[in-house]
Amino acid sequence: MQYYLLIIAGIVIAVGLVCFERYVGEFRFLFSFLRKREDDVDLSSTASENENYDDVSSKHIPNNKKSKRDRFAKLNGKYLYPVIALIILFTIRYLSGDRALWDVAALSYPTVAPWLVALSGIFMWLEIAALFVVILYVFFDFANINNLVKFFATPIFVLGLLLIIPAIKLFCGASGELNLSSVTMAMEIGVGLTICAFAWLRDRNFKISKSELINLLLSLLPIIIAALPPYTLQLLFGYAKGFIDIKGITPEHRIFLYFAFIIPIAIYFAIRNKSEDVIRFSMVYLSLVTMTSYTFNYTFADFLNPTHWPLHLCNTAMYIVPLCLIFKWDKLFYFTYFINVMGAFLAMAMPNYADGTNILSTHLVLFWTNHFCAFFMPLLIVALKIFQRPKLRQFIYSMVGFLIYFVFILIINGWFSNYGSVDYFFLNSDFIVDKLGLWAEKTRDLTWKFNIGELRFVYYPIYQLLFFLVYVGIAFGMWFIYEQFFIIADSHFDMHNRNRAYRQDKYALLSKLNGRKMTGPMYTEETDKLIIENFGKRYGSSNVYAVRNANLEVHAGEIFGFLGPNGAGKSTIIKSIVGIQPITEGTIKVCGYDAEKQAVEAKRQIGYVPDHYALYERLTGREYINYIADIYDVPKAERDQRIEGFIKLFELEGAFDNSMRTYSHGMKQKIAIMAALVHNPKLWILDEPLTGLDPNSIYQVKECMKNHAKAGNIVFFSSHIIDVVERICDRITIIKQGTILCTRSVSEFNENNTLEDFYLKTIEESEAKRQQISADKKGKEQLGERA
Amino acid sequence: MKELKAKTPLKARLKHFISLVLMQLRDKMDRTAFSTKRKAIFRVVFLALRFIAVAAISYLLFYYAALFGIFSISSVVPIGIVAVIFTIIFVLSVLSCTSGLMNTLYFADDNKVLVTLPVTGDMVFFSKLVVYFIFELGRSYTFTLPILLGYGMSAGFGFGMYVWLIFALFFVSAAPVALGALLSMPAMAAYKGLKRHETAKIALLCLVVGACVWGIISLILAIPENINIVEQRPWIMQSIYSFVSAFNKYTYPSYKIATMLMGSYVNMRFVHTGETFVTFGFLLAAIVVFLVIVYLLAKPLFLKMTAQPFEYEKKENIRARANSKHTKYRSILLKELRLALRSTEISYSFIVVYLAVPIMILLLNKIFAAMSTKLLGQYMTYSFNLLIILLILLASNAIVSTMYSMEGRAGGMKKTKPINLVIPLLCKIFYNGIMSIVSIGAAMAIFGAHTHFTIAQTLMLAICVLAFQYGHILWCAERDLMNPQNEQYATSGTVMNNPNSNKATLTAFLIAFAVFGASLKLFTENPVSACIKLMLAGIVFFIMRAYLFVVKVRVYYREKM
Repeated sequence: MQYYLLIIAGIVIAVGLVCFERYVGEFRFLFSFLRKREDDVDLSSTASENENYDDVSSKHIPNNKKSKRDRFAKLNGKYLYPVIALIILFTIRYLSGDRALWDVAALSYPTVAPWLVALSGIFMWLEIAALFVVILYVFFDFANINNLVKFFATPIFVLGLLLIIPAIKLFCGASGELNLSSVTMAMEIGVGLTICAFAWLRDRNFKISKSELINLLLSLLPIIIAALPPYTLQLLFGYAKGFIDIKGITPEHRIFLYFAFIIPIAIYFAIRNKSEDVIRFSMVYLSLVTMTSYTFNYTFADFLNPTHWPLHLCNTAMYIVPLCLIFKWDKLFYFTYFINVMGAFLAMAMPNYADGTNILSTHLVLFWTNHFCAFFMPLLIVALKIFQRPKLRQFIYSMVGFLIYFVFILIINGWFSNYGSVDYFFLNSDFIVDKLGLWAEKTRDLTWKFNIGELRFVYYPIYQLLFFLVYVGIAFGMWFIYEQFFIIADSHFDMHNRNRAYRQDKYALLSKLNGRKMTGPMYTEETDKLIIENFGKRYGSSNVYAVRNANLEVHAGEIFGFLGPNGAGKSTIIKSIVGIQPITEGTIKVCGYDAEKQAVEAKRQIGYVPDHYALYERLTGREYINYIADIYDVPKAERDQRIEGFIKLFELEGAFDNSMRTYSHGMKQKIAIMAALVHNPKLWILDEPLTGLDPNSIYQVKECMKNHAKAGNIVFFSSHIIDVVERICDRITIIKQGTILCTRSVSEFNENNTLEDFYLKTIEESEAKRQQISADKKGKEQLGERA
Repeated sequence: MKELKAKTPLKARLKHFISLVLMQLRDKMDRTAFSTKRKAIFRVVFLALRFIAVAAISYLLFYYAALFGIFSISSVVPIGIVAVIFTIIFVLSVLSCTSGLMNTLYFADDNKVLVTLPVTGDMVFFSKLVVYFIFELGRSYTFTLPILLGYGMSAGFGFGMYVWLIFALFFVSAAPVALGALLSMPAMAAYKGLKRHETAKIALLCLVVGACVWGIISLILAIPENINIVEQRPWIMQSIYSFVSAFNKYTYPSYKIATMLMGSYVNMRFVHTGETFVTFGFLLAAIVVFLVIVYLLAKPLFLKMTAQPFEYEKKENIRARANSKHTKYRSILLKELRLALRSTEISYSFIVVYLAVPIMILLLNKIFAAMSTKLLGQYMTYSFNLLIILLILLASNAIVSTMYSMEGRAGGMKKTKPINLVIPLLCKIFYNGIMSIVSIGAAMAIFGAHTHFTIAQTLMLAICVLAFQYGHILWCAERDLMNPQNEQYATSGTVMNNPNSNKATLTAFLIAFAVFGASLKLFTENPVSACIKLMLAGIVFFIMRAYLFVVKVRVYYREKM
């Protein structure tokens, strides 16, 4: 009865704190350092929604310098004080108890029935998970955490009402009497229940969608597994059979080591596509519950005994990681990244627990929980880009940190050895040298002893110096190895995003076709046009646009001229039309086909002559043209007729069956033109085609272009030779610095107003305008600086 | 040119020369490795680790050779053995320099640009030699030096010996370049001659390959039926001694250079005598003489070659052929076959590799069969078979990692064709795939005939090897597609120190040794289940690489190049 009264007291306190928070106190600024940046990119959005896939991974990396204060999470705006109360109650309860659970094996407990021991043990396990879900609920706001509080934490705390007595007996002593631990435990359940109740009041909807339910169930599994206290397996199942020995590199030990790699990889793949909130929640939750698991063998009394302090290297990771995650201490984080990870792995490779330690025993689970987390958490945090990939500066910081830690441990070891057996970081004993052999043991022979007052200090300078240097050397080597793994992870993540975008494009195409054939045109009204809509192109991860917002429409039967100075963006547009380069923004429609989503069909409509011939020169002209004709599936009779016609037209009779290596530049260019026309394309694109051709051939090419357009096809032609453009084109467009300046009909020009004059004038005006804009911008900047 | 030389002061000429050298170095080096501070640090660390690894392996080999008295009863491996190793490295360097300088001096496309620059022909010519010397120097200091250092450490060299070694190696590295430049002239003449007479070229190649095969088979037949290293130790040592003596006798200059570098073993320690400095003087004189001859003979040839408008002669009166129609996939395969057969230097090197694998396995198993081994020894021989097959085959895939880039600009035109890109890209490696089946099939059949494995187990191991080979081919191809060098091939016809090839070779070694280690462990546990596990590992590797190849081509290939 007394415990139920304490639960009610907990409820009353929690309700009081909520009321205080809402109506009296507005001290949320206390936690303002935890606030989340509003404009963070949500990676749960599809890759297609992001404008440039190249930037997906880079956007995911928060800039530590710029947004140091804005990277954690925003407060839900409610229940902060009850949660603080919950944290205080839990800390007092956890560190004050004389917990019987530690030694319980196979449900055998004097004052509680076995089935109740089992239920209570499971409850104590789930309660830790529920407790941290409720605590983090205040700092994170996404659908699944609301559901976790409502559908997972609430039933657990309700179960607490039923199992409070046996749980207190197990946790706080067999008698179940009132003490600090049992009082705080009862109140903790009361406060937890209250926060859950408020969560229900905030969102009273009992219904949960199918996808939300799947998400909830999938996330529950790791949430529960991670919260496993070290004693639970021993409590439920006793000890495993004696032959299961994981000491040394036995197959059983290997399985444990495999899990050290499988677990982080599984977590990485499970959450890498989630929003930043989810990733942060997962990492903070994981680090907190595993820290709780690790500190199970600590009580307040332990902190009074220096020889029990958690200063072993791997142990430090257990509290450094959550601290770094919560308070964004990046320098401290890189210390754990470079130092703890490796130490933990070495410990896992040669576990040092006592003989007879059993696979399910509390000691062993504690050992592996501690070292697993110290090994993979820092790597996972960097892999998930919560912290940046370290640079040389971070490495140096962490080595300085390591030096400070090392010196501190040397002092502590030397000092505390006067009070008991102390061997932090194995600097004080022969544990390491014993494993390495006689030569290593000899390094400990040289000792340095001195007294300060009554305290005696003993050091092993050679051994300890070597230890430090080897560790720094290995840390440097490990940095290299981590980087290789991260490069693989990043490239895989980028590939995954692009592949997803590719699939989405395919679905978009299917939807647009609305049941029509995949090979049919997507835009049925525009089958005789080349349309470029809002086209933009950037290269790689550059922010500079090679072409921006280009719009063009070219009709069947037209010869369209494309003019512009070098580097204006002509070839960029052409290469995007023909499929050599992907499109960054906008749409290109080739005779009704989308150049990106229906690339193969669009290409079938195109014949392309590049600015520099690109041929397989070890083939003969005939072999090459037949190869191209085969790819376009040109019937035999048609190709015979066309090829023979072209041979005559371009005067290649004597050379066509020679290896193309023997051809002159002009001859190779002619072959490139033949290859572009052998399938009689609807759209013929020529990028500076007349370079290197003799006058007769130039004439023939021009005639070809005219005839091709006359036959109802489109000829899209880029050139610097304005006279030729003026003479054969129907319309022209002028492009400069990636912007289309104007499109004109050639009929507008005459002897007094030639295309050449117009071109030069347009380019000049554009340049003047650009300079004016640049000057204005500079002026504004200067004004801004003065202001 | 003479006018230009007369007017330009020496300081300016030197500046021009350095600019020329730097320009070519920038063009030929993989600068992405030094693009950021972090990449540069990793690159330096990687090179340092590689250097340390080579030195450590060398040290261990020499140390254990001395410890077990393999070459001599003395506590130090005789200098003659080092001279043999040095000679092999030296000869390989000369061959590499001859071939490389032939391409870079006479056939490189950048010659046409370089001779138009306002510098003398001499400068262009020597700048090319200096650039090649710098690369050769890099090779010497990253490969030859750690090997010799390893020997030095095992033999207890003094500090001064190391300083001399590092100093003298600088000049020794110039010798293969000078010699290679000299030999590149007849090599070029022979190359051009063979190019004109395709039949002679094929006949010569067949002759060389046939001679090699005959030589190896003779060696196999010469293997005694019973090898007992312990009992036959005196005979073996005598044979080694005779071989080393004869080898050093016939390669006397190289032997002298090796002793000049490492010193002479006198009174239980290595020292440098006056002879060292005499040899060093002779070496310097020889390099100068070679360079003068090269200047007098090769430079005019170089200038003549740069002035040639076309490399290939047009054949007159070729009979006009008929057009032919094929399906698109057959046509692509046909095109690749034609290109492969007409790029003889690549296709023949593949043929040699695919022939070498079964022959090597036959040789290896004949030796193993003659040896009396325990059970563990037998497992080791099985694993060693897998290692040899994989090492040769996978290392040869370094060529695959340049195959797409070698298409130059024509490679980019594939993207404009109305066809799923994966298929034409796969067609490029189709013939390698077919040849791999034949080669691995033959090698594994020989392996199976010499071991106690059943046909099913041998088949499983064959599938394992084939899967790793296919997976690695795809990996190399993917690397070339993701990091293409087409533009460099299009402009200079070659890529020196191609990062894709280097990575392909490195992964080949890693995979081969990983399979070797895993197979050894698994064979000792259970040979039957080992075959299944190895086969599954191979299949998983292949599926993973195939998936990544397809996806990467789909999502990245359009953006590359």
